[in-house]
Formats: sequence, C-alpha cells, structure tokens
Amino acid sequence: MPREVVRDVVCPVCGSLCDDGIVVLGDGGRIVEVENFCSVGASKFLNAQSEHRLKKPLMRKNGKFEEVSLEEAVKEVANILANAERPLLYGWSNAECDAHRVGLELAEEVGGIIDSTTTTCHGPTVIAVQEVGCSTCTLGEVKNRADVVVYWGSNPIHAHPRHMSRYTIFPRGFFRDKGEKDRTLIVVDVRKTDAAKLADYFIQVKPGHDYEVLAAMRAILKEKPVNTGEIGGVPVSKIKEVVNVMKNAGFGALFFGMGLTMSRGKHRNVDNAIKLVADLNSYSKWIIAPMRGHYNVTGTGETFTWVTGYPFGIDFQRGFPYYNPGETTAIDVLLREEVDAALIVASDPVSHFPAAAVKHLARIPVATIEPHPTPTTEISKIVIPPAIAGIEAEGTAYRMDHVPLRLRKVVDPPEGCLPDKEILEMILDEVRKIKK
Amino acid sequence: MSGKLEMTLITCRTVEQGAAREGEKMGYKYMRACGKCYMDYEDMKALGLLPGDTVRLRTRHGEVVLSVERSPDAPHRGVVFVPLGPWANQIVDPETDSTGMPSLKAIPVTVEPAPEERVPDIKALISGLQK
Repeated sequence: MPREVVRDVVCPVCGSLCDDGIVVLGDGGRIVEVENFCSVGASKFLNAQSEHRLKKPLMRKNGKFEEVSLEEAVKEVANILANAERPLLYGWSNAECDAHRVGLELAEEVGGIIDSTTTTCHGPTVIAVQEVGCSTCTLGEVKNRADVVVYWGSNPIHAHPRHMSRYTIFPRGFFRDKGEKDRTLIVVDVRKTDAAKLADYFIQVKPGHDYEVLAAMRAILKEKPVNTGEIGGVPVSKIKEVVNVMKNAGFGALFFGMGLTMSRGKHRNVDNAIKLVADLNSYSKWIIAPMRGHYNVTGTGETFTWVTGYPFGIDFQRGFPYYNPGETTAIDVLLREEVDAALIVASDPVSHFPAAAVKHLARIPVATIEPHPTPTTEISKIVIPPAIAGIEAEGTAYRMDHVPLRLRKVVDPPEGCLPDKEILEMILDEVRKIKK
Repeated sequence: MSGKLEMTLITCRTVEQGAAREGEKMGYKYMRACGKCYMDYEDMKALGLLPGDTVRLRTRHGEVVLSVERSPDAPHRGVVFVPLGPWANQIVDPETDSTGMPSLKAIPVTVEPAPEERVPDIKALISGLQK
C-alpha cells in the first residue's frame, strides 16, 4: 500500500509550536516516519501508537486496575468531583483550547480550583507582567528583524531545540538576509550550556544573582556609576561590554526561562528583566518574551483569562473566580492539604511536583485523563485515555508568542478514545445530573 | 578524596529527558535520563568519583541516590545539575514564597559517594511517595 505523507503538521510538544512537521503513514494508518521534528517531537509521534499506550479506561478495584467502560469511568469521576469539598482540576497545557473551556465550566460547577502548569513554570512571569507590563512581539518579527538576541536563564538547545533554527539566530530574515551572520547571540547562564557554546558573548552569573546583574545593566545603560569590580560573579567590564552591544542593536530580543522564574526572587527577576528591556527602548528597539514550555500553556492563559479574567490558579469555591498566587495555586493547596480530590488533565504532576506536594496527591482520590502510563496514572483511582491532541484530534493551540495555530488530526485514535473536550463534556453532564 | 561536598543544586532540562518524557515514562529510558546528575569533573575528582558511579544527594527536604555524569558545560565548581523529574523532586524545595512556583534552583545540597547503593527505579520512588 503506498505510504501517505501528511505535511504541515503542528508539533504538540513545546512552546515553539513548529508547524512544518511531516508525518509518513504506512499500512493501517500507522506512523512510520517523521521529518523536521526535533528528537522530543519525534519521540511523541513515534510513541503515540506504542504497545504501552492506554486504550481503555481503567478503574482501581481492590488496589488493582481493571478495564471499565467509558460511561462507568465518567460516572465515577463525576461522583468524586461533585462530592468533593475542594477539588483541584490541574494540568491543561497538553490539551487544546476547547478542552480548557469545558474544564473551566466544570471547575465552576464543582466549586473547585483550576490551575495549569504555568504554576510551576512561567507563573512568576505572568505575575511580573501583571505588575509592570511587557514590550513584546511575535516570533516572526524576531526572525525578520532581530540582530541581537539574548537567552537569559534559558537553554533552547535542550528545551526548545528548533527555536534558534526557526525563529531567532539561524533563519534568513527579511531584514537579516544573511541569517546568523547578521545576528549577535548573547547567553546569560550559570554554566556554559550548549546554547552558550554558540554565543558571541557568554555571561556566567552566580546562581541566584541574576537580579543584581540585571540591575547593574540598567544602571550602566543609564551611565550611572558602578563602584565595584564584580557583580553576581561577573566582571563589571564584561557587563559594560555586553550592555554596549545591546544599546547599539537595531532590533533586540531577550528570551528568558526558568533561570529567572525558579531562582530566588522569582517574579522580581522577571520584573527587572522587563524593566531592562523598557529602558533599552530609550536607545534602540527591544522586546522581551518568555520561553513557554508546553505547546499550549500559553493557550491555558488565553482561555482562562478571557473566560474568568485570571490566567491560572483560579478558585471557584466562592461561586465566582478568585485568583491569589500562593493561596489558590496547585502546589500551595497541596502542601496545605486543602484539596480532597483531583482531576488531572494532560499533565503528570507526580513526576513534576516536589515530593511534599505529591505525597498529599497520593492520599486523595485522583482521576487522570492521560494516554500513557505515567507516575500520575500509577497513583490514580481512574484513568481515561483520550485521543492525543495534535496527533489524533484537532484543536487550537497558542504558540509561546500568542499566535494561535490549528492542531491537525494526523491519524485515528484507538477505538473508543475521545478527544479531551468530549470526555470533559461527558463528566460535566454527569456532574450536573448529580447536583440537581 | 571521598568525604562529602556542600554544593548548590540546580534542576535543568536536557533533550534526553524531553525525549524520554514523551516516550515511556515508566520505562528504563526515563530513569536513565532523569535519575542522574551532572558535576564538574574537578568536583568529581575531589570526591573520588568516576562517571557512572552512584552518589547520594541530601537536602533539607529529602535525599536521593543518582548516577553521576561528567558535565559537558563545565566549569561550574560547586554546582550540581539534575534533570527535572521524579528523582530531582525528592530533594527540591517546595516553598513557593507565595508565588505558586516552588524553588527548583540554587538549593543547598550535600553530595557524597554512595558506592553500595543503586538509583531507585520509578516504581520504588512512587511507592515511597505513597507511604
């Protein structure tokens, strides 16, 4: 049978949301080969139809998982959520936007907390942007205009492997038609990462000292005196050299990652970086943008905000949306043992949350919508495998620069596996029946 | 040689961790990608470690045994990197400082050789969390 080639596939893995994927299908609609994907995207496609993929809903009975019908699983999930006092609905970043909309309705119906992976990733960025705003643009503008690119506390070669090739350094842009020869790369990190090895300027900062280096850059930019030889482990002469390059850029772009959001200072580090870029705009044109991790975490921010007014950590217990990071965010409510049930959608918090938070999650009834066995499914009471968004189901996702792209359905899902949105609608219907 | 070192722990991403994460999380590749740490070779020499040896990392929040690999991003003496995952999460700081975000970088850690120990597999880690 001739092979079918599907082009322009949008990759449902990281915030780069590359849209030039090629998937080659063989007999019976099996994925046999992929092109243009990085190794992480390739891994997702090539493992989507593996033998360990879950195909039927599972429910724990007497400590062991048994296959059950979708209807039975949905009824039990609805029971757990409807009867919980403070349920947590977490994850969302690997699901498409229409699923988010149903999730929000469900959270409101059960008076629960809805939170996305933003909470352990760029939550501090969102908080900083709420405080000081943000000068930003789309990745296409960067590709076409940027001649100075900074990666601060971000290692794109490992976390967003094609970012530099598609958007920032290597591509030939409209105004930068010599590609990398027209651009200067500056990397700021605590070690010489693979991205730093390609840099024209590398600043090695002491862990936890980014805030001082950002402050020093702002002072030097404004020609204020700096009465010390070294700041945050970096010689002031080096900071002056780099500030000079940034000041004289035609169009500069500063991308940042967990080096700023996870280190001491958190949202204050991002706040200072945003202000540095604002200051640079007095001399040149600069933008700043976060390197969002999941392919649709930006989409969770979009959907949650246009529905409730808030971007993450939204508590519906009062009957209206309430947002207070630290009070209504997933890890905090788990550490304080406030939550008595959880629905996890498109995420694996048992792998990615600190152990102290996971210990509480392991004690309460957890339902998970997830296509593969993960540490989270291992501690769950109910697991419902969906059709994988971007591979087996269509939907909308937002790239890290807020550009929405339509995910494609490349292959059929296993029989009986529905898109996340439809599973959530079934759960919502059941919850409404219970609450009548 | 031997003894222990007071170091700084930073969690990170690696492309191997990403590819394993999208594959079989309950399988060997995920443990191989995440149950490890990267150290500056000078620090490894100070503890008498060879690549592939097992080490115990202990913080105020917990301890875990990992295999050590020579960092390709040295020099960064005094700093040890662990890919984000269930192994790193045994020892990171859950404190969010009211931002929602736990402190996953620049955590004080003690590193010592653990030649008799093995890196726990994913099932052992999960049962530990269920106690």
